[in-house]
Amino acid sequence: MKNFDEKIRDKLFNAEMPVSSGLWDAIEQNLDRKDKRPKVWFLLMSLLIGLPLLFFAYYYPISVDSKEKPSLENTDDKYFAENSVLSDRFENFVDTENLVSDNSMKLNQTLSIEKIPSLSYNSIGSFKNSPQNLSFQIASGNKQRKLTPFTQIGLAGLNKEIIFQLNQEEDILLFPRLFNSGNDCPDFKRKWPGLYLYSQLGSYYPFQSLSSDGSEMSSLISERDLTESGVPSFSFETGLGYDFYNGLFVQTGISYNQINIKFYHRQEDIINNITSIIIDTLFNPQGEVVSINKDTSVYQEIGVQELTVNNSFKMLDIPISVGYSYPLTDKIHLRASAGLIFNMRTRSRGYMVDSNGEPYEYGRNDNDLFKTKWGLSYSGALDLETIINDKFSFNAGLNMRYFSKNINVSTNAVDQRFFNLGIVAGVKYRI
Amino acid sequence: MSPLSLNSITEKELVALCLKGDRISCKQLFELHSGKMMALCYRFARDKNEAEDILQEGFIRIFNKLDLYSGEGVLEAWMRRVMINTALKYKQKNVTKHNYSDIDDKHVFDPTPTIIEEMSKDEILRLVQNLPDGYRTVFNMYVIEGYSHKEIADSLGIGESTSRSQLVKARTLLKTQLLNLIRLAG
Repeated sequence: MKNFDEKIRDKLFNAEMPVSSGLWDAIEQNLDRKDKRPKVWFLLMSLLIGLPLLFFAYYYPISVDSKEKPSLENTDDKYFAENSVLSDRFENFVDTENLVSDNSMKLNQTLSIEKIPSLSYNSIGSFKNSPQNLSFQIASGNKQRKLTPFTQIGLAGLNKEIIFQLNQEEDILLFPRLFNSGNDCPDFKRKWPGLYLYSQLGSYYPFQSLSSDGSEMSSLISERDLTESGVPSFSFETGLGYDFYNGLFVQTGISYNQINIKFYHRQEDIINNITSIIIDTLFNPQGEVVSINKDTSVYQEIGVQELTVNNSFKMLDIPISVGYSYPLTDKIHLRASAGLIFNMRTRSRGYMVDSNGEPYEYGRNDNDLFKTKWGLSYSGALDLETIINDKFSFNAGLNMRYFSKNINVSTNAVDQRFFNLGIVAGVKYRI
Repeated sequence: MSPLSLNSITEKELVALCLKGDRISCKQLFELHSGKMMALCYRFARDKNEAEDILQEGFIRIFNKLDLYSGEGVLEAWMRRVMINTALKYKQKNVTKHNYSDIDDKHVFDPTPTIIEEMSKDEILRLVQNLPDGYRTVFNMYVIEGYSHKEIADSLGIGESTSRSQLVKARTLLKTQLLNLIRLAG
């Protein structure tokens, strides 16, 4: 039978056939098309940036509702008094300067200052169901003396605010209290009220998946699956974050990750040669040596050889994540986040089996199996944040990280990927 | 076309240039191997058009994954593997179902192997091409490309025993065809 197979193989294995002349052009066109495909990471980045913006656009429509005044009760009468006094003073000022008729429009604009309280500055887009009492405020008018129009937009909550002032030329004299709703008013001196420092420690289990482009590596993959298994690994991350009023938060920093893989190899029927030397010394009654007999023999011991090593992948990363914090109670928030992790550097070291099933060491002096930069990976987290006081809070929950890319260099024919799943606990300090 | 007859550049250097995006080198690499790869694809395909479709897909795959070629071993062997995988995927996409029936062979006829020696490559290729799709795939993979039954079973999603029986059926059919040729020749 072999003769028959071999003869056919000899005839056909190196056989050639002519190819149509236009085939290369078709291949080349497809190669061009492939080059122009957008990168997946670019689309993901666009989504990460675009989705929060859409969220803002959806929840903060700029509209004026002059009827709803939920916080006006907190506003003291003195405020109106001050404004009317200022307006009166301004009218006097205009009169004394004898403005010509083309300034009348500016005068009208200036007079609208009196109407600012009626804009219900604390009511637009108010979230009554939120403990943070979020509100969106918008106002416009003219400055007191220079008749300079300005626009001021603010977003305020408990002890937090973002203020944008357009075409600002000097400090505002008239409107520092425009966004003030009484005792709950934000402090305008703080520029980054949601800024915080964070640190967190994670422990996770790495799920390793091995694959190959063809079936030729299937036996090696099976052997590696048998000898390599994930064991508890850890990560440490620290950095800066920012809490927005609507519950969104972003954070970035630097992290150290270590993926641990246990390598266990057992080799049966190992033959060990043992040399035995027996020396017989014969003494006479006087204690003198009569003879020395030396007998050397070699015998074989059959057993098993076991090798257990902790393979490690040590990584330095830059994580960027965006999340949403939902207040379950005043003190406990449920947080969900997703993000990208940029791997800056990875060192790999350990043991694996070769195609003959023999273990060998890699990464001690050089590493020709794994990339030193793993590129992009994706992260996700779900945790509970417990607010201890104004400054501190603790969080704990679940964490995952997925490496979609093959981490091998081209000399390593087996594709390798990781999916890490574990728990994380950390502390947050508001600056 | 012999690999060394193209020009003084070695195959490794050609691969390196392809990886840098040099299209002329890619074309040279294509011309160097397209004849053999076309014959390989033809053995898996129904006709020449289908073989060229597979060849095109296979070469696109080869150029896109050229960075995965380790440089160790023969490039042609790696290309053959990629091309076979492409052919199998192509057939999975374009053919409804192969008939991988698990039938025991009833008789094995052994014609004189010298007949094969006397035949041209094209004649043998035509005989192999006449085999039913399922038989031909297993026969090509096992006999010509040197896959094991386990590898064939993994690649095609069939049992090892099915692969073995398909091979036996393919051999039997081929030998029957050879016998008919002998009879016709008188």
